[in-house]
Amino acid sequence: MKKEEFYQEFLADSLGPLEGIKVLEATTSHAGPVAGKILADLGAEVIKIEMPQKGDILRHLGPFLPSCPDKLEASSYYQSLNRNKKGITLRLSSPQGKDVFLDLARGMDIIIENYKPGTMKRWGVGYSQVKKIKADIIYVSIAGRGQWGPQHPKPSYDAVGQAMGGLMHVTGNADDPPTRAGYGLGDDLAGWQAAFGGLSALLYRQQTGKGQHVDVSQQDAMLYASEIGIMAASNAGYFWKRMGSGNPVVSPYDTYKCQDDYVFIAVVLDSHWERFCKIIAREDLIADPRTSNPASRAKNKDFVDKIVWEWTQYKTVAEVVEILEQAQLVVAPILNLNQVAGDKHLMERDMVTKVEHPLSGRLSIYGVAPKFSLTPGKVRSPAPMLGQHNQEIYQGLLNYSEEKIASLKEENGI
Amino acid sequence: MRKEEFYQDALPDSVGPLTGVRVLEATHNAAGPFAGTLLADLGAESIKIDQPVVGDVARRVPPFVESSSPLEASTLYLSINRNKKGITLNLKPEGGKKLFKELVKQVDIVIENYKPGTMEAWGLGYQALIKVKPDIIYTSISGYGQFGPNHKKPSYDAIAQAMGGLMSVTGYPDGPPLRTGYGFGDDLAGWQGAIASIAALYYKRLTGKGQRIDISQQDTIVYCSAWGIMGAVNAGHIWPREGNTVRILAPYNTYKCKDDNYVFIAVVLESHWQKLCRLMGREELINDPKTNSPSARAERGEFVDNIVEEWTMKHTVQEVVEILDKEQIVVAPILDFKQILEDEHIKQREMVVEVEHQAANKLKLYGVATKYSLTPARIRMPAPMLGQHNQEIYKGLLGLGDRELLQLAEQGII
Repeated sequence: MKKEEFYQEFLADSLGPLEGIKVLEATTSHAGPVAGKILADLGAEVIKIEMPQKGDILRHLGPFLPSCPDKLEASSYYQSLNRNKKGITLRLSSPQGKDVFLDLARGMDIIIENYKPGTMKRWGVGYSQVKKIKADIIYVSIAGRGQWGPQHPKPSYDAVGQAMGGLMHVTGNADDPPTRAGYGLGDDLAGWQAAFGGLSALLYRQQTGKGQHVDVSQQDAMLYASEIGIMAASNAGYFWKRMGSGNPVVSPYDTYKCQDDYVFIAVVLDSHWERFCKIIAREDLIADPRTSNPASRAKNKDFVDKIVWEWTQYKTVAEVVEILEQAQLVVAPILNLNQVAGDKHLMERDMVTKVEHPLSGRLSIYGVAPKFSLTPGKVRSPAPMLGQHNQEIYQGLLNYSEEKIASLKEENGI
Repeated sequence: MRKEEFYQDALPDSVGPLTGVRVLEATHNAAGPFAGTLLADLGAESIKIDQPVVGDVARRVPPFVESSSPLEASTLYLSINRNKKGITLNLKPEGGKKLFKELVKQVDIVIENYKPGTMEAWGLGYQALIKVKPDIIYTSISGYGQFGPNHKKPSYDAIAQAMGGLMSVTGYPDGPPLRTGYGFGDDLAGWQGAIASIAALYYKRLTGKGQRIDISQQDTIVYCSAWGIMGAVNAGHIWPREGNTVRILAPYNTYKCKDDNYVFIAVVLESHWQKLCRLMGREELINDPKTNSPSARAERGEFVDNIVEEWTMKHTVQEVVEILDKEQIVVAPILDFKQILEDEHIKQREMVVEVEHQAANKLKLYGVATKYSLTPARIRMPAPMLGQHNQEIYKGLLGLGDRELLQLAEQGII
């Protein structure tokens, strides 16, 4: 299909399907901001609250943009996760901060927070407290192990979700230590669950008028991705172990070393195996009982892998990809982020896009993953500078007087 | 917070916030079914279409549980298709197409994950379906999306991990690129499909308008790349494989312990570093310019890691976790599936739950990750057996009679 065909009826001024929804984010680091990012990317208006002066902790983590004169606005990590949001500063731990938060909450559909469980309540802005002034609020909390359960007070970061949710145990080569996924999936998945949680609760509210508290745990979110893990262990006597890039049920299905680098080859169907054997001039293996069906190939994975590697080792990745693609076999180079950023297909799909930042100029950034034929989401603004939208929100949205704003500056440090 | 407190308002008969939403799935394998599962887990009624006689390819993927029927034994199929209704339907003959359209009239969302162009070739693409149901939400999931130069290429989970940058950053500096153990190339595409569908449904309920949604596995992985693209293009940071660490932080790694197992320790805050130094008996490092700030420690990651491992090697994993937990420092054992099954916190969070299956008896599987205070979601039924709900759907929903059903079965349509 052509891109134009897909977008033939799109609304030119659409921000995305969630246009009109208001979200308040009391978030830091990665998991909370990803939840807000997903909703903002789909068109919601997201207002992110940051600590005065210091801001989100991600502002202090690299890689930093050399083009940016202000260190607080230079983190590519912060910039990437907070595009499409408005940003205000507010110290929530003060009584004044609490009052302002409640004023803001009155006009919101969804609140997202990822402080340690109990923190928001201590500040007077927990679910039960917000519910008193905004009865139908959808209040989404994200934490390492959730809001309750024996381990709920423990602190967490991405890798803890990966370690406690089984992922690290099954990632890595058999003789490697347990391995962390390179992307922060312990954080990302929690953010995604929170976005689903908030959205589906919103759909429920649309029908019934009722809000609720949504509780997301990084560990739960990771276990939700564990596929066969739990059932295989308890019902099939199969304890999933790490086995590199391969898997126990399909072969060839692994990375193979070429002259210059690695390539991923996946042969699942018998028809593909036959074609593959012809290409590598091993027709004898089509009928060989060691390799003649998916189950036998999986069982003899080491043997199969060696055969494949004997062929790939004399070729470059580009050659292998070209040959196998021509035969409609499933193959991929292992793209690094530089190659991802330059990928023509991803550009055509607006997955590598640009946004103009007042201090840093044009920045490359990933686009919005789901494509909507009628209401496309897009990257419409860069991550907010610290307190960039204070005036717009405090004066414009909350109608605070100049005096009140001055006192917020003085007492709250906004 | 205690569990009872969180659920104090819970509706006892709730199946989840998406109750009343109806989904039709023309899906197989993993990515498509995941989208349907997420919606079904949150309370939607999801009707999954299986090929008559053979069913979803996932039904033949090991490991298997003991079962009275070989098609109802795959841990993969049984784990990821719970909470759905299952019908058989051959989409290729005219009679099959007609029935599909009848079903479409009754649902809010259609999800499919055939190769781009396949549903169109069968006369069941978006343009054909809006003629029978103008406001349908039609969600397609594929390796590279419905448009763009690579859209026709076939894909599996690992291809998306390879083409989305994830494999290039997973693994060790001196090792090959690695696939994450869980199939995130499939999982995340499924979830992106679910989020997008809920967002589009929200929009439809406001405006009356449906639309088409296009999900690409590659787009979805890129969407999780944190700073990846901006780091590469604008910060000159070529993200390398770094094993278990992210070299913007230290200590942030797995460390070997006395019992030959590994533990993950993550220190981000200065106060945590100071506490850790005292615990290790290395107070001198608190003020040492080599380690007295996050950036100084990140620069000398290996030096810091060696110091931490010197200490962890004097203790077992359990001891390290206990000591650091007491100080509220972020730490985690690397749980395997035996440990996950026994974990008290995971049990209380209902992330390991049991479901009764007609052919395979009691099965354990992962629960629903997102917790809702008002409308809790839960596992209400196992994955459907091949054609299990044919009677209910064809007779109950479409109003067909016994004779018609018999004919359809004889013609191989259902």
